[in-house]
Amino acid sequence: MAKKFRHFWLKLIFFFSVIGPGIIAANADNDAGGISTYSVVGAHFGIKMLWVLFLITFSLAVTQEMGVRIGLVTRQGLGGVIRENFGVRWTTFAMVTMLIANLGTMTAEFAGIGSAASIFGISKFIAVPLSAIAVWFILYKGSFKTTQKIFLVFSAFYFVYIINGFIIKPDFGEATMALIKPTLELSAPFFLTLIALIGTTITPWGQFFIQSYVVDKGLNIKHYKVEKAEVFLGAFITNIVSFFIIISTAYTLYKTGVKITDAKDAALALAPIAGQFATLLFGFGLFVASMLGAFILPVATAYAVCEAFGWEYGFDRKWHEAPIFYGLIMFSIILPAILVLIPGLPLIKVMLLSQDVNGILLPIILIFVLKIINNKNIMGEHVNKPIGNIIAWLTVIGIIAATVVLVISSFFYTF
Amino acid sequence: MLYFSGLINTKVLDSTDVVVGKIADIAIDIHKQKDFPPLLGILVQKNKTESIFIDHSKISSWSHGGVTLKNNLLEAVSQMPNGEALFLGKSVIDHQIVDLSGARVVRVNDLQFGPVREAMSLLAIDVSTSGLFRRLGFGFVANRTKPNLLQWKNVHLIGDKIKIGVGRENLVKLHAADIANIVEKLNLKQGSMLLSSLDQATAAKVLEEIKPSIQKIMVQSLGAERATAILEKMSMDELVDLIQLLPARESREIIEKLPVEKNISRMKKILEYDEDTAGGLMTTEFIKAHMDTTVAEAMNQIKRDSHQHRSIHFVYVVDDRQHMLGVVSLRRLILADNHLQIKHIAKGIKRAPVVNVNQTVAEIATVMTKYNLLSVAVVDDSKKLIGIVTVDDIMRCLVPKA
Repeated sequence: MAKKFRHFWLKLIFFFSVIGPGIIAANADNDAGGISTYSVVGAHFGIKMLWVLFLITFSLAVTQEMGVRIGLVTRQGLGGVIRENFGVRWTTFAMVTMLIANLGTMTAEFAGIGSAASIFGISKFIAVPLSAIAVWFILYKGSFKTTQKIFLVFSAFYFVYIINGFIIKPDFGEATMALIKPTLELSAPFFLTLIALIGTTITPWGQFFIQSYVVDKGLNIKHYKVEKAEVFLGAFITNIVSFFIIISTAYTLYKTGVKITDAKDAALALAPIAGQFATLLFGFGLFVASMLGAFILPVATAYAVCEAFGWEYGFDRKWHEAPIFYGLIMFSIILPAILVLIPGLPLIKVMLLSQDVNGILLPIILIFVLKIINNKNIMGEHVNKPIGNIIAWLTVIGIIAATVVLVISSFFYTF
Repeated sequence: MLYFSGLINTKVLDSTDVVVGKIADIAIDIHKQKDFPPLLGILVQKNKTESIFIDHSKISSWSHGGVTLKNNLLEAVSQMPNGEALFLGKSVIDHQIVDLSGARVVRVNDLQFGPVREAMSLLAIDVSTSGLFRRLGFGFVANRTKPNLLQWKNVHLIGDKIKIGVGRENLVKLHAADIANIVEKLNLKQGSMLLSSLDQATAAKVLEEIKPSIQKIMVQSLGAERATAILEKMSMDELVDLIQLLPARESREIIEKLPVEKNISRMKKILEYDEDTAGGLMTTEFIKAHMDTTVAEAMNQIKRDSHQHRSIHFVYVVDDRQHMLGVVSLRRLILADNHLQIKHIAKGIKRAPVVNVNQTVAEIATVMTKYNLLSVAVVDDSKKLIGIVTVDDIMRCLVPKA
């Protein structure tokens, strides 16, 4: 018996040791921008957008898998591969695109911290600067990896939404139908939210992050099958959570017609499970999710840019050896933090709009990825199969089409 | 000054100033001259589908406005070069190289050309941000900032097979620890390629200096066959540490392939001990002598076996059953008369500190610091001498990040 028990623990340890890029990247997708976007999707449009979530689960799995494959074959980050195959100009274009998207996401993280703080009655003017300093200090002095793991454990908070989703007793038949039955509403807010939904699920930074992660972990093509399974599992898990956040808000807030204007409104969706503690629970979850994103993003940004342009990088370098690396990390913490401190800024809107920026810029990065993964000179026998190409291109076309519709419909809409 | 960024995609004109195409790539000769490799020719894109090679001898002038041929195009078309040519746009520009003068990995932003003994040649490699600006078309910014130029002889290309040969002789001039840092910085494929391009003795020294997590991956990516060739040149303690990192099947595979003189029973002995104890840290390779060995014999033994040892600070004196009797420092040995016997110059066991095989790193460090030792003998419970711990092993434990 004792032996069997030990065996079980060994198995568990093994399982946690293989939790890798796929699950981490997917989980980090549910950051401040994610949690607020999914809440708004459910609260403002009910279950109308579930079919989009269903489709982009495949897109997420496929695009992340492509990132893993490029990483395993080239043993370089996406920035480096773009640089070696597209030259300086295209690299600059890709990097500026990523930088804008990431600064947007960082702004969302600080907006999330500000909103969470307001739930606990703390002013954002105190919470945001303190968190920014904490992020910088821990990245600079502490261990990035340990911190990342701690927050990952905290982000198990999302399972609250799954339980909540059962407690509210939604009409699962109806919800399942909504997963496969496309519904469109030809209005600017609908498309704005739809693009945010895509942009928070599949992100430009996620593409860079997953590739660097497999390279840093020293995995090679032998590990491909395991990693592929892990990435698919990660995409599935993260969107299960997203599904439950959406139905949690859809069957509470949407039913009663509550529009989300600040974090307290979104928190009401958790009332069935947490009662009067719903706001506190939501506040905690939002804070943890925001901090997790705030840790990962500056580093992911600085790594990609420095790798592409050949500047020194890494925490084992000193300030004077890698000034641009540290400078970029600092810049992508300070600028978004300052933006969030603008008085009277509607934080929920900031979080949603930042995901729109991500969504609109995503096709640019995905096209680079597709160009690379279909290049025989780079990928050899590991070029994309038709099914992967079809799903990825449909994603790209879908986002571009949605963006075009958004632009046109916004002419007929007064915000 | 001519730059790659200024030449690429510019017009190629024939002697009558008719545009015949644009420059798609520039090739250099990597065999002729080491310091400033001469340009071999240019790859010219005639139209969307057709490209031709033009030899440098057919070109009358080079400038950022375009390249002019001596004659007409038909006469200039040359045979595509093979082995000796390196196409700069394809395999140097935008790629990573090793800057040997700074022992670091950098990315090539631009290349500088100029005439050397009347032949247009590659003068320098620009790895600075000003090179980036020039590529982006912001020449005015580039001219205000200081370029960081590397000489061809001071770089090592990384990547496919043809490139790995360039600059190798210079690479080995670096300290093994610096090469190790470079390997750590590269991706796995490039790193293992660089490692296997070194001679085995150097590769072994480099592998010893690489941090354990990367060591492990490196050995796995080299494969048992090639890894063993390098591993057998490593010192015993480092080898054992490395083998401990590997999964059981792979370590068995490597142990089986190792030559007999890397005594497997000795290796297994080290494997039994805890990693943080004297037993786990020690190497079983050291110079030993008997009491009646003469100084001359001991010196000869050192000269003969020195290649097996990373460092030699002491000769250890043992009896027939390997019991530790004393030590002789290298200094005493050198100063002593050749005909003297070891027993005349050895420090007895009472004055020669030893550590027990189960003592911890901190305890060993204390002993070594107290007695100012560069290496200390390790004995088992029956006072048999089984190995030595050197100061670098201790330092590695105390300052793991260096």
